[in-house]
Amino acid sequence: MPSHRHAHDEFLSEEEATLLAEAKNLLEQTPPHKDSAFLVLFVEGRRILEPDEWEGTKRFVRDVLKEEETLLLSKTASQAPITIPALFQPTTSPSPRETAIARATMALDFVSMLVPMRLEREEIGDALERINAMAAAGRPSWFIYLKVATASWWVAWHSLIHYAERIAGIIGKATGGKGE
Amino acid sequence: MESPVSTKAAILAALMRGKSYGLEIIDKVRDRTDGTVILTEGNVYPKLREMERDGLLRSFDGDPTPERGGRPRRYYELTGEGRRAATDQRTAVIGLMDLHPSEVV
Repeated sequence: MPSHRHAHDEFLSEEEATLLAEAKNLLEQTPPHKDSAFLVLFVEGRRILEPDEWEGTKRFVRDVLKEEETLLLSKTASQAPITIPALFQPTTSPSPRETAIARATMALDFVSMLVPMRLEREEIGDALERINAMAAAGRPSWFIYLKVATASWWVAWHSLIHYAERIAGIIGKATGGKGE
Repeated sequence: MESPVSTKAAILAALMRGKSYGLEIIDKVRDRTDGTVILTEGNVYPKLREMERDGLLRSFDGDPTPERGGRPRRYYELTGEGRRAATDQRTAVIGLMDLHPSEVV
């Protein structure tokens, strides 16, 4: 680590200091929390420490992190801009059902840009409500995708009917109701 | 199997006990007929709008909800004319089935 480190605790914001204290506390538990080790290293790496303090920090996390991870992090920590809360975000990937809901919402939000507002609010709103209920009931992901497909189909079809009726109404008015 | 009642008749019956929205109407009809009458998004929404144009129903927006992506529910309720149509329909079905009104829940 750079040798110009000096102890300046005021470098840490109040939030960072709180997180650091929590992370150190978690590290002392058995089994130690690996994410906390990363956090300690990151936060401490951004502080300006005396060399022996920095060595102490590395020793502190070495039992939890591999040597190469410690070295890599200690090299990048002082330069990388980091958002502390992001380190506490879960690292597990979303479940297939959560992914399906996110995709369904995105697909229906896209469809909603193309259809009349009333259909968008009523039919797409109802479809999303149904999809969330299906997910809560533990239905498989393919149910959700099927629901998106059928809802999109019906919304598209009803939009065509809506516009056809509007056009027919305009023609009807223009021709005095004779339709000619 | 062919549905024993029309979409319009099912909607009128579902709304006799108060306001409801599309998804809830579909569920109410399915539950109250033990799955004998199934409404789908394909037929229920156009029919609701048609009945509203015909003066049988009126509609209004509810509060937006997060599970609908911030969209409000569209509630429907019977107008006076709609209530008369629903009552006439009920009387006709009772007569057709040769039931005494006290036998009907």
